[in-house]
Amino acid sequence: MRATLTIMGGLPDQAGQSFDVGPETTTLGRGLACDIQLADQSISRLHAELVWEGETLVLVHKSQVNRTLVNGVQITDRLELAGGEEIQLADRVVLRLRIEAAEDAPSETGDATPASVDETRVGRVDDPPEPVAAAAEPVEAPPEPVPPSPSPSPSPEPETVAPVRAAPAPMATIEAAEGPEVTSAFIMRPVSVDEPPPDPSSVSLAIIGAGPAGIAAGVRAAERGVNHALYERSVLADTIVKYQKGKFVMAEPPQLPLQSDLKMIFEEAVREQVLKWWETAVRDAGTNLVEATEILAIEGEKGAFRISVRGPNGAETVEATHIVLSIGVQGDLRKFGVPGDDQPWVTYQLDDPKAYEDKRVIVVGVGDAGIENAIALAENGNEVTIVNRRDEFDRAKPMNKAAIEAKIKSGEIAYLTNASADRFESDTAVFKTKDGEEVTVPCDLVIGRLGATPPRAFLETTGISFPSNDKEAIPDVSDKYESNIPGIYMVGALVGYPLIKNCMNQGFEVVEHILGADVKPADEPVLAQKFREVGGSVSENLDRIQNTIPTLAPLTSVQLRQLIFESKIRIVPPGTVVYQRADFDNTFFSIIEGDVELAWVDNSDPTIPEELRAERKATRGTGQFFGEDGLISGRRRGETVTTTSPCILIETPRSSMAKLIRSVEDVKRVIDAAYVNTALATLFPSLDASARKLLASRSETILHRAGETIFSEGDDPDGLHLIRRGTAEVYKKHEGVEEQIDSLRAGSTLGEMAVLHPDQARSATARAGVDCETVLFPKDVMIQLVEQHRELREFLELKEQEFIIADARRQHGRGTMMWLQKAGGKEATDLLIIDETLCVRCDNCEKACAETHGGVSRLNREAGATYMTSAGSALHLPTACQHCENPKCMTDCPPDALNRDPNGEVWINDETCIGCGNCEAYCPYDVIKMAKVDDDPGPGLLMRLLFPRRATKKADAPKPEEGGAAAIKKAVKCDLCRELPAKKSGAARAACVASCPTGAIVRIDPGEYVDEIYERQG
Amino acid sequence: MIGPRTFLEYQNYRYLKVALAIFFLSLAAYVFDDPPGGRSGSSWTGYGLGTIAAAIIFWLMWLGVRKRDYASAGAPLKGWTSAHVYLGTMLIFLVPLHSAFEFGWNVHTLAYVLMLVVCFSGILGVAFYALVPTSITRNRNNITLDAMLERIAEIDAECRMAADGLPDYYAQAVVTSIDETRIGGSVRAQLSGHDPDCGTSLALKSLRMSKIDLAGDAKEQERKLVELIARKELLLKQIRRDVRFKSLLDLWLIVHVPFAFATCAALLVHIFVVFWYH
Repeated sequence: MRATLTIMGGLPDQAGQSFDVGPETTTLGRGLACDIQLADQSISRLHAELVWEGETLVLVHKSQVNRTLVNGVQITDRLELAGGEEIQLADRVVLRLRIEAAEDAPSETGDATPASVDETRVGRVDDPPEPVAAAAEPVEAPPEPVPPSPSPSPSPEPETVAPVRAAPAPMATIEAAEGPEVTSAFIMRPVSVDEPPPDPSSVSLAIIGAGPAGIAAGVRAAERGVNHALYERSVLADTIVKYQKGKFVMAEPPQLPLQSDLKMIFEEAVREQVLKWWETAVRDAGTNLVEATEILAIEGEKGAFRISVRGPNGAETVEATHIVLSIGVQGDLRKFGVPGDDQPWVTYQLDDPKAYEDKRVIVVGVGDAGIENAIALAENGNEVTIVNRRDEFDRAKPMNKAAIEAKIKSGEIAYLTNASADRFESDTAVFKTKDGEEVTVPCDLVIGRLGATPPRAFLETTGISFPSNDKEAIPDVSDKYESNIPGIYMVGALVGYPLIKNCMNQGFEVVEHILGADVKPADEPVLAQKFREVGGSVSENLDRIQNTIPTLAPLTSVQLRQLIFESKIRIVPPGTVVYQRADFDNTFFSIIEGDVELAWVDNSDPTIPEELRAERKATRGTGQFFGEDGLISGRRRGETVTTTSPCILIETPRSSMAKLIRSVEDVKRVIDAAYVNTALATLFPSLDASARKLLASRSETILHRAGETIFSEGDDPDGLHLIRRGTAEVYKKHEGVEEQIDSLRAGSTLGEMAVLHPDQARSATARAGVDCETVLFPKDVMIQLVEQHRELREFLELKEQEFIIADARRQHGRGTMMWLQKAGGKEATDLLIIDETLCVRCDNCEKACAETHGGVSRLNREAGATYMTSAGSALHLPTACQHCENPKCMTDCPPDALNRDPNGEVWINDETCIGCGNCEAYCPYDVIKMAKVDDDPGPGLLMRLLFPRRATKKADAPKPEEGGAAAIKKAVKCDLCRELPAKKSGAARAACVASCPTGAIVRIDPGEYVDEIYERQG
Repeated sequence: MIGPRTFLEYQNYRYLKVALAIFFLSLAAYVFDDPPGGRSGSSWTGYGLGTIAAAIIFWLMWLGVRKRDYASAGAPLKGWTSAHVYLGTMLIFLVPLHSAFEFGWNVHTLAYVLMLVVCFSGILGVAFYALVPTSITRNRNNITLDAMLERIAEIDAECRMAADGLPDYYAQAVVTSIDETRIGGSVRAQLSGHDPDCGTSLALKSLRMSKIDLAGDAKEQERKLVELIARKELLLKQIRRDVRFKSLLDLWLIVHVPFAFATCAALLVHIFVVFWYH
C-alpha cells in the first residue's frame, strides 16, 4: 500500500505539496524533526502521527492543545483511515489523504541506522510544489509557437494600442529605439514569458540603478531596440567612480565568461579604463541614461507600472511595462530632511578630504564614516565641528572612537553633543539640542554621514517579498530573474550576486528574458566542464539533481546553476574516505548517486568496542546529504565518511550553502532537522528512533546574541541545551562574586542538572560568548526519557561530574581562563601565544613571517594583551589570526577567496582576492590587513646575511602610487605557513614558531590549552 | 608554559646530555692516552680533540645563518639555541684538554682567550634572557611602546593648548619639555635608563619654581599644565626603562658576535701556524 498526503489549504507557501507516508511512524507537526513539517503557528510541534498497522493506516492525535479533525469530526485518540479523507490540523491546515496499492513500496531504511536523515527522503516524492515544477524544465526552449530567438532587427513600427501616460517621461527621448511617434512605446499589454515573445517595440523598460548589471541591461536594451531608460541616482557606475584613482578593478571569477553578445567590455583593469569602456558602451549602444534621478515609488502592475522619480527637473511619474531593479545593496544615504538641506554645500559624501583647506566644515554623524571624514578634514587644516545626536561614540570602531576623543580633547575638533540639525541658512547651520536650545554654527560645508537605509524597506513597500526576517535575506527571483511581482525583475548584488561579471551577464540575460528570447546562461561552458566526467548535457544533469536531491529541489534554476558553479562535482570510487573525523574543512555534500557510510568513532582507535562502532554508524544514499554539522557549527568534522558504492557527489563550499540557507527557507528547514537528528544520534546512541523523533519534534532552536544570558543561576530549569553554533560561557557565584568556570563549544550540552535534578534551580549561569545557537530539549521530555534509558542518565551524570570538576579547577586556573576569554581567545581554533618571560623581543617571529610572506608580517608581536599567571609566566596574545571557529572574515567575500583547510586554517587566496576589504572590516580582532604583497621572493639567504638590514614592511605601509597600475592592495593574514615545505616530521609549520630562538612563542589548540594551564598551575 | 619551559630544557635537555657526553669521552681519551713525549696539543689525541672543538666552533657560527633561514623545514630554532648554549659552554672545558693545559703568550692561547670572551658573554646573555623579559612585561603594564609614544605626542599637544594664554615663562617650559626631551641615544644613555638633562624634568622643575601669581582660569591652566608635564615625566621614565631592558638584552651581543668572528680568525691562524711550522 502506498499513502500520500497533500496539503490542500491553510499553508499558502506549501499548498499542493505532497508527502509520502513511510512504512514506519510518520510524524506531523511544526517541529523541526517532524517527517511532515507544517510551518503554521497554530499547529503543535508534534501534532499527530500516521502509523501503519498491517495494511491499515491509523491516525493518532498527539497534540495536547490543538485539535485534529477527520472529515470534519474531531478525533481525540486514534482513527483508522481508508483513504480520501480530509485531515484538518488545528483550525486552518487541511490535508488530503490518498491510499493506493503500491507498484513498488517505497524503500524506507532510514530508521534502521541511528542518524539517517529520513526527512530528506520523505519530502516531496511526487507532485512537487510550484518552484520544483517550474524548475523541472529549466532552460528549455519556450513553448511551441515561439521562435527560438526574436529577430535581431527590431521593428520600430508604432503600436496601435493607445498609450497611457501620466507625466512626461524621460524614456520618450530615446532616439535609437524610437521612431517619431515617441509616445507609442508605452503599451498596456501585459507581456509574459509564456506568451509569444513581445515585439521589442512593445516593451518599455525602466532599468533602475546604473551599476554593472544596470549598464549591461541598458546596453542590451538599446541594442535590441527596446524603449528603455536607465535611471541612476548619482552617476554611471558610481561605486567604481568612488574608488581611488588607479585602483584595480578585479574580474572574478576568472573562469566565468561574459555573454558573448554583450557589447560592453570588461576585464581586469584600472578604474579609469573600466569607466571608459562602460561609458563608451553606453554611448555607442545609444542607451538612454538618466543620471541624478531617484526612484521614489513604484506602483501598478506588469504592463502598466507607474514610477515616481525625482530628477534635476523635479518629480514626475513615468510609465513602463517592465522594470529591472539593479540597485545593489548599499541602500540610500539618509538625508537631513530639514529646511535648507538642498543648498549645494550640504552634502552626504566626502570623496577627497584633501580637496578642502581652511574651510569651516560641520560633520554630522559619529559612525566610522563621519569620524574618519572629520579627522581627515581636521588634519588637512580645516576648522571642523562634529555633531553627535547622542553623547557616546558607541557605533564606531574602537580605534576611531579613541582617535576622535583625542582630537576633541586636544581641541582640534569642536564637538556638539545631543544635537540634531534643525535648518540650514545662507552660511550657517542651526542645530537643536535635546533641551530645545538652538546652536548656530557658521560653516562653508556640511557633510551629513547619517548612514544608509538598506534597500529592503523600499523593496517591501513596492510589494517584493523576502523569504525570511533575517537581515541578510535575499529576495526571491525566478529562473528569469522575475520577482514575486510579475514584470519586476531583479539582478545583481540585490539578489545575491555581487561580482561584476555575474551582474553584467544577468543584466544582458534579463533583457533577453523579457523579450522572451532563449538565452544560454554564460556559465554554460563552465558547468559543462564540471559535468564532463559524469556525462550528459548540463540541463540533463541539473534536472537529475533537482529530481533526486529533495534539498535542492526548491532552488530556482539560477540558484542551482550558481550553486553548481561554486561547487565541485566529484566521482568517488567505493571505499574512499571523503573526509576524516576531526578534519577542519566544512564543505557540504549532496549525493547525486551512490551510498556512503558515516562513522562517529575513530576507526583507528582499537580500544573502541565493536558494538559501539556499529552503533555509531549510519548510511546515507542517493538524494541525501552529509556534512551539515560542519555547515552549522563550523567545528571540526564529527564523523568519517566513506563511500560504499560508486558515488557522484556535489561538494559545496560552506559560504555558498550559507547563502542558500539565507535565501531558501526550505533548505534551511531540512538541514536544521537533519542536524538535530544527527546530533541526537551521536549524543545518545542508545535512544531508539521513536525516542529521538519525539525529542527532535519537541526541540526548539534558539539564537543567543553575544553576551546574552542563556539561563541564570537560580532560574527554574527549562531543559537541556545543545550548543549548535558558537560558544557558551558558564559562570558561578562564589561568595557573591561571579566567576567563569567553563567555556563550552558547539556540540556540547549545557544544563544537564535540569534533567537530573529537575526540582533544583539552575546552579550556574550560562551566557553566549559569541553569537550562539542552542537547541533546547524541554525538561519534561528529557525526564521521561531519562527514566526509560539508563545510558542517557549515565551520560548526563558524567557531564555533571565534569561540571563539578571544572568548578573545582576554577580555584587554580580561573584568572588565566577568564583573561584568555576576555582577550579574544574564545573562538580561536589555533592560538598564537607568547610566554613573555621567555621572549627576548628579538622580533625574529615577525621577521620570519615577513620573509616567508611577501615582505609583510601578518603578526604584530607587541600589540595585544598580556597576563601574568599565578604560576609566574606572562602570557601574551599577539595580534595574529586565531583561525576562529566561525570565521567572521568569511561572511562576505565576493570572489570566495577565503578558504578553510581540513586542519582548520583560514587562508586567503591572493590570486582571487579582489581587495574589497570586506574581510578586514568583518574581523573583530584586527588581524587582516590590506597590503601590497611583494611577489618577488626577496633576496636569498646569502644576500640577507650580507645585508641584514632589509626593512620588514608593516602591513599598511605601502602607499598606492597615484594612477599607477601596480598598486593592488589585497587582504593578508596568517595562513599558518601553508605554502612552506612541510616539516620532515610532518608536524604543522609555522615560521614564527620555528624561528623563535627561545621557544617563547607557541601555537596551541585552546581546547587542549585549558587542561595544560591546570596541569601547570596545579 | 607549554612543552619545554625554556630553550634550555629543549627535548628534555638533549643537548646538555650531548655536550656532557662529548666532554666525558674527550676527558677519557685525554686521561687514558699517554703518548710518548707527554700529553700535548700535538699528540694524536690533541689533534682529535682540536678537530672536534674547531668543528663545534664553526657549527656554532652557523647559528647566524640558520636564524635567517626562515623557511627552514629542519629543527626549530630553539633547538639550535639550546645546542648552541650547551656545546658552546662545553668548549670552555674541551679546549684545555686539547692543548693539554699548555698556555702561553702566543696566537694559540689568543684564540682560546677570545673564545672565552665569547663564551662568557654568551653565558651573560643567557642570564639576561632569563631575568630581563619579565621586567619588560611588568614595566610595560599592557601598554605597547607605540601607544606610550603616542600618548606623549598627545600630551605635548595638550600642553601647547594649556600654555596658550599663559605668560611666556610657561610657554618656555612647554617648549623645553617638547624640544629637549630625548629617548635613547648612546649605548650608555640607553643602559642608564634615565636622562639627567631630560627637558621634561627641567620643565617640571621650572614650573614648580614659578613665582608668577596667576588667578582664575589661568590658575586652572597652570595646574593642568603641571599635571600634564608630571604625567609625561612618568611616561618617559617608563619608556626609558623599557629601552634600558631591551638594550640589556642586546648588550652582550655587541661583545659576543664580533668576538666570535675574531675567535674564528684567530682559530684559522692557529690551525695554519700549527701545520705550517710543525
